[in-house]
Amino acid sequence: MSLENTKAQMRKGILEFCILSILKNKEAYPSEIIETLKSAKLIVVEGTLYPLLTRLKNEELLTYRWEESNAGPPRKYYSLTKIGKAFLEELDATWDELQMAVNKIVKN
Amino acid sequence: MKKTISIHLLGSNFLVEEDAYELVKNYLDRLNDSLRNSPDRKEICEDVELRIAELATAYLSEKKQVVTFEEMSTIINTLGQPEDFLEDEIAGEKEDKTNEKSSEKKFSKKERRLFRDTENSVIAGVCSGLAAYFKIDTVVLRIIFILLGFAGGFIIPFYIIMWFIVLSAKTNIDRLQMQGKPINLENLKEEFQEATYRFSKSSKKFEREISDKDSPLRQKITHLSSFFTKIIGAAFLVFGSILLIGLLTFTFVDWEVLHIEKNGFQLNFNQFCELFIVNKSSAFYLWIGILVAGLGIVSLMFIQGAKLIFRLESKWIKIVKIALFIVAFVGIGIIILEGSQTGADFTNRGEFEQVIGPDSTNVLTVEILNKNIPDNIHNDEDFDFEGFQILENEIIQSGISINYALSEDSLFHVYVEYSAFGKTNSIANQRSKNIKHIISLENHHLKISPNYSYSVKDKIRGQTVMLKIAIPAGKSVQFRNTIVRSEDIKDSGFINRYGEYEHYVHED
Repeated sequence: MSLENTKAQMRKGILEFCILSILKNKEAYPSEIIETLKSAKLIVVEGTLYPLLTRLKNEELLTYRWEESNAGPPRKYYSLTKIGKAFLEELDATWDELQMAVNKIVKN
Repeated sequence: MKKTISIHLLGSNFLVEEDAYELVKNYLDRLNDSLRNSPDRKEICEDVELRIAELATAYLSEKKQVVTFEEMSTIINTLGQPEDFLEDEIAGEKEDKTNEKSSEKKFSKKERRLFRDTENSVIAGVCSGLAAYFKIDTVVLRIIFILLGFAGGFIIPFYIIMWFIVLSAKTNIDRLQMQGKPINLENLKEEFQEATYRFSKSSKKFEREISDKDSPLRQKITHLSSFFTKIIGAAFLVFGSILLIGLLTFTFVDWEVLHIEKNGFQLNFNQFCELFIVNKSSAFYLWIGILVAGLGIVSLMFIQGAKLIFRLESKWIKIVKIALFIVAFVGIGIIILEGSQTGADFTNRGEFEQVIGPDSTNVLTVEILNKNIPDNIHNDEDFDFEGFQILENEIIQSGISINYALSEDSLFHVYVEYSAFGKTNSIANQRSKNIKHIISLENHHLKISPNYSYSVKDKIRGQTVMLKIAIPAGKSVQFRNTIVRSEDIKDSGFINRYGEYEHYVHED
């Protein structure tokens, strides 16, 4: 198992959680989500996002609505569904536990 | 130089360089191929297309309309290679179940919509859209529409309304949604309600689109109006050319070019001026004025025509147009100024009356002299037009009107009234006295010429000759073909240029 692969696996696991978190308080269209994820260095290529969003939507964690854009094509604005919100709360709790656990192990 | 290609990415049109097109096409094909086993294939592909469109839009501006190869490469690098980013996501078989569920959802009530199927359209895709929606064969529906069109005609406004209300299926999702449900009452009701809502929305959208410069509707209108603009532009060029030919003819060629009929003008401009215009300098300025105004207007028409056809838009064109307007106005000003000098020569009317007779006969015979020009003016094929002949320095006019009156005594009295116009009364009187006319009364014969003449120096100033014959009660005037009695004094007559008498009976 190469280092790159391991990094990618780690990122991928938390990517879903991050996307849901971004959408926690506001709706956003893919470009916005991409910007946030890029600045946090969570994704390298944008293409990664689209299958993920589609999957989350099909799992009914996300929903979207179309909106016309002043420049360019119309945008899909994604937001959390009820299921998505509950799902995110669960993940939040899990993440806190995980973070503490990991920090404990790594620092010791 | 690179060839550009117009591409269509989910409702947006782009001009891209040819190699950029190859690049993006290849990319989308590979993406599609990588996703062949995924039920989300369409949706993911569309999302990626949308993103490509969005990123491409960022590279474009008013001045830059084409996406280059380099820019397209950057876009694709940003998105990443499909083989890389799809590897983990799609691999798992476990997702297939949820996806199956979702593909059913795509056709659920809420998302099902009526679209116009512009890809399979004859006119605007209304029929094919309806056919897809109701699962009817498109051809059958079209035949029904055509039959209804012949039968009642209401189908035509219906079609146009549908054209406006129903959106065209732009994306593949639209196209999937378009292939909707079987026909039933509930669906129809729901669709009708949605349609009313959409109608109110689309009328607002219509307003907005009219004011939005980049909207497709506005573009349609712009397209149509630019077609008419070009036709108007062409008309400008055509009329400009006609005017120019006329102007050149007027300026450099004798007016004989314009001689169409036997009685048409055969004068060139100088000769015309000699007959009408006050003096030579005035004629010259008038000529300059016509030339300046004419060339100004012709140039304006050419510039305007070219501007409309080739969509020329620049500060210089405006400046030149304004300058030409001024030139044309100056020209027209000169024409008015010089023309008014000639016009002033028509302001006063002068008369000169000559009395011939009396004669005591019972029947006064009128003998119209040969219509030919008197012997002292020899005819050398000069100019001739209706009522006028110009021979050397004499203008010869024809046509004499005759009025009748009741004589106060038992004698015939003949009065000849010569009249002309002039700047002042005395000039006008002088002109009327200058009219040469042959008339005599001998042995109960009134001999009269149908022509009269005056010097070219006098110009054409409305010179006329009127005859008044006072007929004693019970007596009559004998023309070659007519007898005028004393009871007919309210009638009138005219001796035309062929020397024939025309009688006009007075009617109350």
